[in-house]
Parts: sequence; structure tokens; C-alpha cells
Amino acid sequence: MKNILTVKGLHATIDGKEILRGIDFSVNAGEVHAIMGPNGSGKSTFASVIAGSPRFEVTSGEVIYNGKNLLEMNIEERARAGIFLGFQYPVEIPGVSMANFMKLAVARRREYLGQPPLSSGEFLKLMREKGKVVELDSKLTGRAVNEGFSGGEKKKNEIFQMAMLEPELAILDETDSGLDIDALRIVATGVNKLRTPDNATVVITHYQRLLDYIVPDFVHVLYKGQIILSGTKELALKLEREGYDWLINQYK
Amino acid sequence: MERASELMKTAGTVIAAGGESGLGRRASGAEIRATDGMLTVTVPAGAVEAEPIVIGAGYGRVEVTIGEGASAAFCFATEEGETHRRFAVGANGSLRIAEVVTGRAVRAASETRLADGARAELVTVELGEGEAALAYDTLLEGRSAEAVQAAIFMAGDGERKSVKVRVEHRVSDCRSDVSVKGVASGTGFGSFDGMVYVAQDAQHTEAYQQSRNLVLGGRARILTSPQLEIYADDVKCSHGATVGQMSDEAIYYMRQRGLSEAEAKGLQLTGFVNEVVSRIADGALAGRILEAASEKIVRLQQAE
Repeated sequence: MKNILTVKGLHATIDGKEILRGIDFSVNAGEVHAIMGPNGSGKSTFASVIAGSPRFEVTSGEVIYNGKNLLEMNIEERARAGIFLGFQYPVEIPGVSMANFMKLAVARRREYLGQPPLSSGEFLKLMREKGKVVELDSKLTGRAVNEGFSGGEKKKNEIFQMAMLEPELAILDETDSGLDIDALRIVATGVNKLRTPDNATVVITHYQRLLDYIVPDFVHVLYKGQIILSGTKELALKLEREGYDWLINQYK
Repeated sequence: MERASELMKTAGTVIAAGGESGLGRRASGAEIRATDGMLTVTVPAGAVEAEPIVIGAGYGRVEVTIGEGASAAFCFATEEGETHRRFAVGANGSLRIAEVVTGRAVRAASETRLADGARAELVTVELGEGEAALAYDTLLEGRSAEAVQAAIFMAGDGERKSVKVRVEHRVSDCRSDVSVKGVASGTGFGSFDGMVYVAQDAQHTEAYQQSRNLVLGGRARILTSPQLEIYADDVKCSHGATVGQMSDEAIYYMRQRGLSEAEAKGLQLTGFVNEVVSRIADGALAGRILEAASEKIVRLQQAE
């Protein structure tokens, strides 16, 4: 099976404070991984470091994405190569329409893939098609990026962008936070529709709830910047029933 | 860059710089006269001008009178030299203005008087390449009058732009909303002076004043001073001012979707400008203005 991402001994800091303390992690094509863990364990930091956020400094370790040294690539090179981060807090960009934003993003992704540019008509058709994946109101795509969107609309909009860009590796950072059950179902169904044997999804979540809809092949528990246990979907159920304490006590 | 008057040329009525086209009496009853560089527009009571009246540069003085219940829209090109404009809107009249400013040394002042229930809406996009000093006075003289104004100025390397806005609430129950945005880059300098004056008798006034500014690079400067002077005690007034840099979060977000840093910044700046430009009702005109603004934005980015 084709390997998409391999992380070895990854350490990262913010303002000199170490958050990731040696992460080992591997994702193959076709897989869904869930990363769980208590608050402050480093889940979002891990997602941000893979995306290339300038807020964090990688101090040691290596990350190989499709055979390439990911840490040498800048943020947009990673994105164009197919890494997508679904933001926990999607950013509002006043005055910038979703359509204009996505037109540039799709153009850059297609350039990377060696695909010809889309005509305006083709692009609009793609917007309509992909909007349906998450039942996104077509009016929203005419509005400014995330501006005035409700919490649920912002998260749907993240999955809409994922659908537009067809990433090879999607990392969804607490996509379920702040969602009511209907929005959760729509978002999760959207993610499932986008699954193919050639791509992979990493879902970061606090709750088992999301994993009822997006069923993971593997579940990892992150604690104090390390993955302290990996298992199958049953692990998530056990964590839901019993919490993290038993695991953390073992770890100590 | 295209001059403001070129940007505004459309198939409709065009009064080009110094030209005579479009002068005379119009179907709506509105009359446009020119004498010695002064342009007079009179829209009689009840008349409705469906199409915007486009007024090119070259008229140093413009006087517009909108009669009772009449309504008209204007597009103004403000260019090189000095310009004075006066507007008077009669009871329940409506005035809409889109203004584009280009040129190397521009000074313009306008005064707008609003009678009972009159409404004025002004959108200014400043794209000049040197110095521009723009001053606007609005006098709310009749009850329930409303004035809405939005402007954006862009001070590129070596440029100086200043916008002064004074709104006077003289009587009760009026509303005003002023939003002036600025961008400065390189050694550019911009300033906003805002004053909302609320007279003692002007109870139930609603007055809002906002100044939002982006500074690119370490040498550019923007000074903003939004002021309120309130003598009435039953009013709703607010003012706010920000001077900041582009949002790192937004740039990161856009780069994560594959845009280069320059593209992300350009899009964000365009968005900042477009919030003002998109208030222009004529979509085709707004599109042309935004295109012209994009050229300016590229230069602002290069000077950062």
C-alpha cells in the first residue's frame, strides 16, 4: 500500500516551549486515522506543523510526504502538493469572495498536478457540484470568506474547500467542535464522500461522536506531545466510556 | 493608470472634461448647465433620474440641487487641481454619488446640505499617484435626514493622502454613518480627520464614524483622529479607529489553500479595498474601479 505520510521523532516548539516531543506516525493511502487526546496534548500543534504554520519551530525529527522532505517545503508548496488542513477556527477574510479565493486555490493545485486551467464555466460548475457535497448554500459561495458564517457553515465551508481541492492528505482539526448533530452528520457525510483509495484522512477530535460517522482504521492517543497508544476504532469507544485517566496513569 | 474620467466613460450620459455633451435639459426634467468652468445641475421636485449622471473632470465648481422628493445619482471624476462641489437635497430627496480620484496633485472639497427626510450616499475611491487632500462637509439640516459615506485612500511610496470628514447634526432624528479606510505603503503617509458634531437640539441622533487602516512595511504612516462633539443628551453615537497590519492568520489560511504569500496579501488588500468599492451600485463601474485599484494594490505591495 502506498505510503503518504511518515513522521519520525518529530519535536516542535512554540516560543521556546516544547509541545511535540517525539511523534512517530504513518499514514497510507486509503486510510482514516483519528488522533484523540486531552486538551493541550499537542493535537492541533501536530496538525499545524504538518501544514507548515510559521508559529511553530521544528527542532528535530523528519516528515516524509510522498517521498519528499515535507519540512523543506513552504506552506503553499505543501498545500499544492495535496495537504489540506481543515481549520478548527476558520479565518474570516472581509471583502474576499469565496469564489475568487477558490479560483486561485484551485488554479494553483491544478498547476501542480499538471492539469489544464478551468474555464470560468467549468469552475462555476465545479463550485456548484462540490457545494452539494456538504449541502452548502450556494449564496455562501458568493459571500466573503467565512464572514458572517455560522459555526456550522464555517465547518461545512472547510469541507467544501477540501472537496474543491481534492487533497491527498486531509487533516481535519476538531472539525466537529461547535457543530450541532445535523451539521455534524452533513460534515461527516461530506468527508466520507470524498474518500478514495488514493487519499487519506486524519481526523483530530475530542469526541467519539464524530467517529460514529467517520469510522477510523486507526486511533491514536496523543498525550504531552507523544503518541502513547495506537489501536483500532474500539480504542475510541473505550476512551469514550472510561476517559483518558487509566491510560495516562499507565503512561506515568 | 487610467484617469478617473476614462474609468467612468460609459454608453450613457457622459460629460467629458470641458466638453459639451450631455448639457441641457434631460428627459426627466433635470437641467445641466455649464458656464466658465462651473457646472450647475438642477433636478426639479419629484423628478427621478434613472441613469447616473457622469461628470468628468474639468469643472472646478459644481452645484447640484435636488428638488423635493427628487432622486438622482452621479459619478464624479476628481482629478488634478482644485474642485469645489456643493449639493443641496430637498425634503425626501435622494442623492447618490460615486467618486473616483486620480491625479498627482488633487484638492477637492464638497459640502452637502440635507433637508427633512433627505438622503445622501457617497462612495469615494482614491487612486491618485501623488498628493490628495479631500474634504467633505455634510450638514443635516432637516429632521430624519440621513447621510452615509464610505471612502478608501491609498498612499503609495512617496505619496500623501488626507481625508477630512465633518458631519453636523443640527436637528433631531437624523442618522449618519461614515466609514473611511486607508492603506499606506513604502514611505506613504495618510491621514483621516473625522468630526461628528451633534447640536444641543439634535436629540435622537444616530451617528457612527469608523476609520480602519492598513499599514504595509515599517516606514509607512497613517494618522487617524476620529472625533465626536456632542451637545445633545439622547443620542446613539460611536466612533472607532484601527491602524494595523495585514492579518497573519488570514495569510496563513490562504497559503494553506495553495496561494503564494504575495497572492494572499494581494487578495486580502483587494478585499479591504473592495469593501468600499462594492458599495457602488453600478456593478460594471464598480468592476472597472476595482480593476484600476488592483494596479494600485500591486504597486503598494511592491513598495512594502
